[in-house]
Amino acid sequence: MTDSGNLTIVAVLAAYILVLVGIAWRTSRESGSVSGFYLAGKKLPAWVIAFSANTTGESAWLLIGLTGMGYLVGFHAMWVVLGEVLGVALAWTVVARPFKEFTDRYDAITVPDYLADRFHDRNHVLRVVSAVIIFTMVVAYTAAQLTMSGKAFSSFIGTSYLNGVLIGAAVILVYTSVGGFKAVAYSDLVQGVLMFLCLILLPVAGIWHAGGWSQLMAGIGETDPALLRPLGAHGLGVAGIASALSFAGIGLAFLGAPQLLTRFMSARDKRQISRGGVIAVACIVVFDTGAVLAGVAGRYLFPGLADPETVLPVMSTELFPAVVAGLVLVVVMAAIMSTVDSLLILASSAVIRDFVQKILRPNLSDRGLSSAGRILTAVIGLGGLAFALPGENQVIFWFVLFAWSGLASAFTPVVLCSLFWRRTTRAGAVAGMIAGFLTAVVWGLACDVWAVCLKEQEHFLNLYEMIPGFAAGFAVTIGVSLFTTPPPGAAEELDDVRRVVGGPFTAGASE
Amino acid sequence: MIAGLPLDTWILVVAATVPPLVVAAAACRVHGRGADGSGAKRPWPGEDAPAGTAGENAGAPEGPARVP
Repeated sequence: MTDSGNLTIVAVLAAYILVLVGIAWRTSRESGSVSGFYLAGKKLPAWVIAFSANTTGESAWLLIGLTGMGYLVGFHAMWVVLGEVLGVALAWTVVARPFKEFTDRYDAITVPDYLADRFHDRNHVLRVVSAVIIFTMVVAYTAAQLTMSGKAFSSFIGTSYLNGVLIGAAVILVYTSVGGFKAVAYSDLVQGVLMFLCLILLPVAGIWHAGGWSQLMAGIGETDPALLRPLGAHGLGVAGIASALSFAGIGLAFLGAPQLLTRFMSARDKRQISRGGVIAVACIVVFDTGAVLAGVAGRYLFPGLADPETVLPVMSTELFPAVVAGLVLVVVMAAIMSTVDSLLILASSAVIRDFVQKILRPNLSDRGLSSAGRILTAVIGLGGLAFALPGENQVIFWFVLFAWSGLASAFTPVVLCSLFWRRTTRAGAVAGMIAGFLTAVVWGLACDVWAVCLKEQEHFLNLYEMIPGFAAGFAVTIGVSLFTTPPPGAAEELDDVRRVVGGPFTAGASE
Repeated sequence: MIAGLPLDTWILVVAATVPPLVVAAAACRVHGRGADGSGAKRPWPGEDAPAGTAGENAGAPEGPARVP
């Protein structure tokens, strides 16, 4: 990239950072309370929660990882699209409304808050287990995303890795700790719109440069016919089905990952959720299909890339002028920031709300807690920064592989049981949370060890760890609940919530 | 082959994109507006506005009115 090209990219990036700081300044006045800082006072409209949920769920993995997967396996990667779109649709139509009703009744601010009230957790076991899982996963995840920030800056404009990490961390920490959840949600909206436009522009440009759809398909078919098949090179067999299930399983996290559930809690009312569902599903269809098609087009246009995950930077710098390449860097940064900011708020809330306010210092004022939340958000970010600064750390790299599946496996089975099964008990929830989390982590580790020891690439352990994590989470939650007693009134409360919110396609008593 | 892609791949593409959108739209149709009609779709200019509803249509006069 030339100096003038770099200057253009830096100018685009500076304009974007100014927008984020402006959002933080505008929203800072409304973050003076715990509810205001962590849930934007539960006043957010449909567009904001829909885009915020999607951009939080899709980190730089969408732009770097899924485009690379489209490059590597072609249309087999559409199983990821199937899983994620189904996951988002079910989350918004089935999970979100009863969850919102429960959390409004409890005046809950965090997911551990909800679980503690739902299961009458008076000795705080659920809070502590939830907070520990959230905190450890988030610090590791933040470090890995900041590492990606360093790499993105160095690959696009040639800054040092260190400067890239520091710039990314400084921007995120300023607007997250100043503006709180509202700044995060509105920044996510801006970032989501940028990602949306990028993932329309890139595949369209790729198809156009390839000479049209027919030419692209013919070229890809000549390169490798398996790239056009739904089960890819595996074909219809155990490996093919396991691979398809693993891809589809990625979307299961949308049903109950805590960083996504907080978006439902922050909605102004349940109608915003119903409208947000359509926006969220349409948005995720464009996100995921665009990423896969961009990867497929990149395979035809730039065959033989040593690292498939470089297809997005290569396409943006080779097919577009510097200003568009600058915008694509902004979009990559947006994807990183929109995930990190939400995770920082999540970890901060787990400590301030679930430890400090509910266990250690119940009498601390709302303003004092909010101020502590700002400081802690910055401290957690700095903790992630400390891990990211030395460079690519293998321990962190390994850890982050399990952060998404670990968080989802711990919370989703328990949250789903609490919303839809009358017999769920507190002991079942605690045991299910620990079992889901540990199974996902141990399965992932066993997969790596097995592959290294036996030099086998295809075996049943290759199944994505979230699937066994979910299975264990559900089995243990249900199994332990059957041998213990639900809290008094919990089943009747569930019936009442069902009556009030109705079913996915039937109106409730409040409508 | 249809437009260069095998039929089973097209089935996967359609299954991944269309049914979830239909499900979300159907749920929004049921739950997306209040009992008092609030949140109803805003009428285009020239269309009949809903009568005297609250929420997004607050301020509309009683009875059907023409949107200028």
